[in-house]
Amino acid sequence: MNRRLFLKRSIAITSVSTAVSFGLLTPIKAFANTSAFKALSKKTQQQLSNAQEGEFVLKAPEIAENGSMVPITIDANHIPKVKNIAIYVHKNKVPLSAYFEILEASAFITTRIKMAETSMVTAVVSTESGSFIQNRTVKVTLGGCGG
Amino acid sequence: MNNTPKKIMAKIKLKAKSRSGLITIRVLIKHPMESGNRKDKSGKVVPANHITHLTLKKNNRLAAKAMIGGSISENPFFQFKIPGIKGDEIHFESIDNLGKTLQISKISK
Repeated sequence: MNRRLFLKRSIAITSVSTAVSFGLLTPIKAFANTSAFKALSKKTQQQLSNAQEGEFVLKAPEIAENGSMVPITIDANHIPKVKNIAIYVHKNKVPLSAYFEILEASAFITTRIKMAETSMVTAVVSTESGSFIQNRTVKVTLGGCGG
Repeated sequence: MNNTPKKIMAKIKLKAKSRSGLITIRVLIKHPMESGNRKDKSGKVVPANHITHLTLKKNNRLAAKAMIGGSISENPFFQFKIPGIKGDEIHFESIDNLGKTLQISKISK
C-alpha cells in the first residue's frame, strides 16, 4: 500500500516539475499592456456605441499581406476642434491600438499597426460636440498566399 | 520571426519640413515593440517591451500626446502635422514600459 502511494506521488511530482521546466506553468509576469491602457480601450469601446459616422479620411489597405505592418492614415482636418483620435482594431487582443491627444497640432496622423487577423478597423475622432467614426475592413493574408 | 533575443539599440530619427504654414513631422523609432502576447519556440512568453507614451512639443509647448499599446508595428513610424514655420524647434519624446526614455530635438527646415 505504502509503495503504491509513493509511486503515485513521485509520478505526480515529476510530471509537474517537467511541466514547469518546459514553461507551461510559469506565471506570466509581463502583462501585455498596462491596466491604464486597457481601461482606455474599454472607454473607447463605449464611445463607439454612441458615435455617428463622420466625414473624414481614413486610409487603410483593403488587403494587407503582412499583418504586422498595416499603414493607417487619419486626416480629420475638416472637423473643427478635434480633441482625440483613436485607432481601434476590433479583433486584436487589446482592441485599442493608439490614442492621440491633439493639443496644438492638425488632426492628421499616420502610423503602422499590427493586426492579428482580418478585422474591422475603426478610427474614432472625438471633438467637444461628439465623436465620429469611420470603418474599414482590412483583410490580412499571412504568408501572402492571397485569398 | 527569428527567435534569438533581440538587442536592438533604441534609436530615433526625426524629419521636420515646413510648407505653407504647416510642418510635417516624420518620426521613426527603432524599437522591438514586443506586445507580451507572443511566445517563442520553447513556449515561453516573450516579455513585453513596447512604447507607451509619446509627446510632441513645438517651441517648448505641447502639441500632441499619445498613448500607444503593443499593437503598433515594430520600429514604429509616425507622421504628424502641426502649424508652424521654418526655424521652429521640434521636440519628440517616447517612454516605454520599462521606463526607458528616448528623445530628440530638431529645428524645422
